[in-house]
Amino acid sequence: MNNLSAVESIFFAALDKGSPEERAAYLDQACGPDRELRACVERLLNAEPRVGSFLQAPAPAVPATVEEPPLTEKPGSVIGPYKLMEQIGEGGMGLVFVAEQQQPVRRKVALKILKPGMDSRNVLARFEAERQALALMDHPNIAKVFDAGATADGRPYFVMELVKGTPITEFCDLRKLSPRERLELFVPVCQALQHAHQKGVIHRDVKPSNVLVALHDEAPVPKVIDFGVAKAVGQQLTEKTVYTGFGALIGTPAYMAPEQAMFNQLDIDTRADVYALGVLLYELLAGSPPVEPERLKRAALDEVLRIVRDEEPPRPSQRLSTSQTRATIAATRQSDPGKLARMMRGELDWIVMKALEKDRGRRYETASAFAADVRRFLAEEPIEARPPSPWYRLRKFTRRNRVAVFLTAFVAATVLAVLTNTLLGLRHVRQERDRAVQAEAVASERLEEVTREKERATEAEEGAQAVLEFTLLKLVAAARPKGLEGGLGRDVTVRAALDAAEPDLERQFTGRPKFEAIFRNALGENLIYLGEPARAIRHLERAVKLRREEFGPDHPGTLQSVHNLAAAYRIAGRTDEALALLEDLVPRARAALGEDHPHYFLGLNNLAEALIMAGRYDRARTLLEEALGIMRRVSGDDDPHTLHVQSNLGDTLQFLGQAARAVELLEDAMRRATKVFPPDHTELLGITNYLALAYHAAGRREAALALLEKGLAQAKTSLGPDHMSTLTLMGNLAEIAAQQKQYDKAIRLFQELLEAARRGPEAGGLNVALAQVRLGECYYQQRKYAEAEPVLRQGYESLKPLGANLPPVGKDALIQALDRLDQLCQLQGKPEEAAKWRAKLKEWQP
Amino acid sequence: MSEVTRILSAIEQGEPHAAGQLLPLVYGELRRLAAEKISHEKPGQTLQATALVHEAYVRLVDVDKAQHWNSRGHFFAAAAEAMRRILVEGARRKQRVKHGSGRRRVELDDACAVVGAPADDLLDLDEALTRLAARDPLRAELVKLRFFAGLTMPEAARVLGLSLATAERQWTFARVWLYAELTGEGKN
Repeated sequence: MNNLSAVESIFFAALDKGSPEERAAYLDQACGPDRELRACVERLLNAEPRVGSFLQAPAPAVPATVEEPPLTEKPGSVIGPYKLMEQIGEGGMGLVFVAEQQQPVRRKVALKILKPGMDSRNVLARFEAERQALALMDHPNIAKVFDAGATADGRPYFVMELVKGTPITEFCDLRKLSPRERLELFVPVCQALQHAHQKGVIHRDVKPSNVLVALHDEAPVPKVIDFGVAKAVGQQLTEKTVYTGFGALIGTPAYMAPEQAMFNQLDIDTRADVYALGVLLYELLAGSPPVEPERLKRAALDEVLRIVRDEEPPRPSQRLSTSQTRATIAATRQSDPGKLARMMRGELDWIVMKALEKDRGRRYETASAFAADVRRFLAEEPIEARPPSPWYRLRKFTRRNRVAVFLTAFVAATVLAVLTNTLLGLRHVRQERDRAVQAEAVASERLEEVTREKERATEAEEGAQAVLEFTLLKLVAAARPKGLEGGLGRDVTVRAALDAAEPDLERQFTGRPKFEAIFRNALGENLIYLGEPARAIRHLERAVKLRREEFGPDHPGTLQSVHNLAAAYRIAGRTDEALALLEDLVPRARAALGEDHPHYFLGLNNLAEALIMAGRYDRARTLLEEALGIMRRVSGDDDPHTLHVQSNLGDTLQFLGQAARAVELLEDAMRRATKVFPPDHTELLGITNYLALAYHAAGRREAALALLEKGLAQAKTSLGPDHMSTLTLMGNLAEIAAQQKQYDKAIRLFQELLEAARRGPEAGGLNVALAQVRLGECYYQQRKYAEAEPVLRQGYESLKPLGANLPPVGKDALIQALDRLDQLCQLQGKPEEAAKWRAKLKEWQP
Repeated sequence: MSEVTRILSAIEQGEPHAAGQLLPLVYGELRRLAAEKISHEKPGQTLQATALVHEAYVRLVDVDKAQHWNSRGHFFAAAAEAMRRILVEGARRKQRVKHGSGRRRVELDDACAVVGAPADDLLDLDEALTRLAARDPLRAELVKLRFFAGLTMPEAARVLGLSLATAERQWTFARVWLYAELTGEGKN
C-alpha cells in the first residue's frame, strides 16, 4: 500500500504536465520501479476527467430511518418452535404475540419480537449472560422468561410466561381502587423485585406496562414481566449501544433513575429498580408519573436526560392538588380531591419521595425495605421515611453545590481590594519616579514648568499636611489617656479610633476634595479589610463622587475607588450594585488604560467575583480565563494576583461541575501560594477554602474536612474569631459536617458562628441568615423540632427583607426555610400555620 | 449549560471519553429532527442532511458559551459521523425491505436519490469511504465533513486545521480516489 500523500503529490504533478508524453516521462521518474504506485496514480489520472461534480452536492437525508418497514411476522408465522397466534401488544421496543409452543412442551407463551434496528448478536449475547440467573427466579409475582432467539431476518425475540393481565395503573383505575387497595397491590410488586434482586437480576425497566395484574380466583395478582429484556437490549447510552439503546431509552425515561440517565453509566444497581418502583407508586397514587410523559415527549433528548437527572418532582400531594384532572383522579380512587391530597400529605409523600431520591444512597436500601415501609403505613405504625431533604428539592444548582453555596467569596473578596491597591500603588510610585526624572531633565530649559510643578508640590504638601494632622491628632492621639484631648486610653483599637474620628472627617478636609477622597478611599479600603462593608460603603461612595468630580470617570484614581466600592457592595451582598459598577468600569479601564493595566485585568476578576455571587458562572469563567491569560503574561505564574485569579477560576469550575479540573488548578495555586505567602496570609486561607470545596465536590470529603479544620484554626488566630472570612470557613466546615450527618458537630459550629457574628461588627447579613437556616435544618434532622422552628423563622426573617436582591444562594435558603417550617408545623399538628408557610413558599418558588 | 455544550467543553479540556459521549447525543437529535421534519413534509420529499445538521447545532449547543473554543469543529465531526450512520442505516433498511434479507445491491434509482452521482449507491460509497479511512483517515474525515455535514470548504479546512489550499487539494484528490474506487477503475 502506498502512502496516499505521496500518491497525491505525484498525481497533481502529473496532472500539470501538458502532454501525455511529458506525463509518462514524469511518472517514469517519480514512480521509478514501484509498479504498484504507478498503477495507482494512473488509475486516478484516468478517472479524473470523468469525476465531474461527484460528491460536490452534500447528501440529502432520505429519512428511511423513520419509516418503519412493515413487520413480516403475523399470526400464523412460525418462529423456531413457536407458532404465532394473536398479537397482544405493541410497545416502543417491539411486538408481543401469544404463541403456541409445540415442543418440548405444548403450551401458550408470550413472544416479544424486537423492532428492527436492534443489534441481535449483542442482544442475544447479553441475554445468554443472564440466562442462568433468570432461570433461578421463581416467584408468584414474576413472569418467567423461557427463551430468547433470533427470527429469520435476524431480529431478537424473547419468550415468556403468558400473562393475560392489564397494566397495574389501568387495572387500578378501571376498578376504582382506593389508595389503600393500591398500596396493598403494590407491596407484592416490591417483593417480586426483591426476589429478583436476591438472584442477582436487576429489571432496569419497571413501569406500569411491565407490571400486569390478572385475576386469580377473583383476587388481583400483579406479575412483573420482561425481566432480563432491558439488560439484554442494552439501555446504556454509550456509543456502542447507540443503535440499540436509543429506541429503548426513549421509550421509558419517565421511569428511569437519574443514574441511568447518564452516559457511560456502568454501575446500575438494584436501587435503580427501587427508584422505578417509586415512580410506579407515585403514578398509582397521584395519577401521573413525577415528570409528565407529555413533557418528556416534547423535549429533546438532552433535555429529557437533564430533567431526569436534575429536576425535583413535586410531592404526590402537590401534584394532586395542582393537577387539572384532579377530580377524575380522585373519582377513580373513590375519594374527592381535597381528601385525597390530605391523605397523601405527610407520610405517604415521604415514602414516595424517599424512593425517588436522586442520590441513590438516600433511597430505600432494598425493594423489601420499601415494601416494609408501605406496610407500616397501612398498619399505622411509625414509618422509616422522613420528610425529603429540601437540599434535594432546591434547584439543581444548589443540589450540586450544597456546600459551595455557603458563600465562598468572602475570604477572597476582602483580600482583593487590598491587593489591587498595593499593586496600583507600586505602579504609581514607579510612574511618578519616571516623571520626576524627566522633569529634572527639562528643568533647566523650562523654568515655568518647574514652577508649576512646585505649585503642585505645594498643594500636595498641604494636602499631606491635612492627612497627617488628621491621622496624628485624631487617630494616634486616640491612644492618649482617657480624658485628655482626643484620648481614648492606651489600649484603644484602630477601629475604635476611627469610630471616634469619623465625625471630624468632613471638617478637616473642607476645600480639599482630592485629599478627602484619598483619605476616605484608604479608610473604606481598610474597613473592607476589617470586615465592615456597610461602613466602608459610606466612605467609598463619597470618594467615588469626589474623584469623579475632580478627575473625571476614566482617571485611574477614580477607577480605583470604584473598584473598592464595588468590592464593598459585593461583600455587603449588594451584588446588583457591584455588577452595575463593574460592568461600567471594565470597558472604561480597557479603553483608557489598555489590557495590560491592573485596572482592566483585576476589573475582569472583580466582575467575575460579582457574577459568581449572582450565580452566573459561565460568564465568570470566561472573564477569569481572560484575566488569567493576561496576568500570567504580564505578572508571571507565581504572582500573588495571578494566584488569586487562578483560585477564583478553580472555584468557578467547581461550580460548573468540573471538580477534577478545579482541584488541579487549586492544588497548583496552593503549591505556588505556599511559596509566595507567609503561612498566616489571608490569600492562603482563601485558596484553602476553595480547595476544600473542590475536594468536597470531587467526593473527597475527608480531605475537605481536614483542610477546613486547619484553615479555620489559622483564621481564628490571624484574622480573629469574628472575622467574616473566619465565619465563612466555619460555615463551610459546619455544612460539610452536616452532610456527613455529624449533626452535633455541625450544630456546635453553626452556633459558634452565630455567636461570633453577633459579637462581630456587622450582625445580620447573608452569612448569618444562611447559618440560621442550616442550623434549623440540623435540628430538624435530629427531630428536635422545638429548637428547629425559631432558628428557621429567624433565618426566614433575615432573608425576607433582601427580597429580589437575594443571590441564588439566599433564595434557595429561603425556600428551604419555608419548606421546613411547613413540614414542622404539619408534624406538630398545626395545619393552619403549615398552610400559611406553604402559601409563602408558593410566592418564592420559581 | 446544555449536555452537548458540557461535553464539547470536556473535549476541549482533553477529557478522553468525552468525544465518545457526543456522538450518541448528536445521533439521537438528528434522528429526532428527521422524524419531526418528515412528519410535516409531503411524502416523497427529501430532506437536506446539511440543514438537519445545522439545525441540530443550533438546538444542542449554547452557541454564545461555546464560541471561544473549537466547538464547531468537534460538533460537526460528530455530526458528520452521525449523519453517515443514519444514512447508511436507512439505505440498509431499504435494501432489506426491497430484497429480503439477502445481501444484494440496491437498485440504481434508490441510490441516486441518496448520492445523486454516477452509478453507485450510498452503501458502496460508504464502503469505499471506509477503505479510504483505513489508508488515510484525514482525507476520509474531510469527505465526511463536506458530504455528510455539508460544511463549506473553508469551514472544513478550519475544523481539520488545514490551510484552504491544502484542503482543496485533498478534497479533489479524495473525490477522484473514491470515484475511481466506485467505478471499478481503482480496484486492484
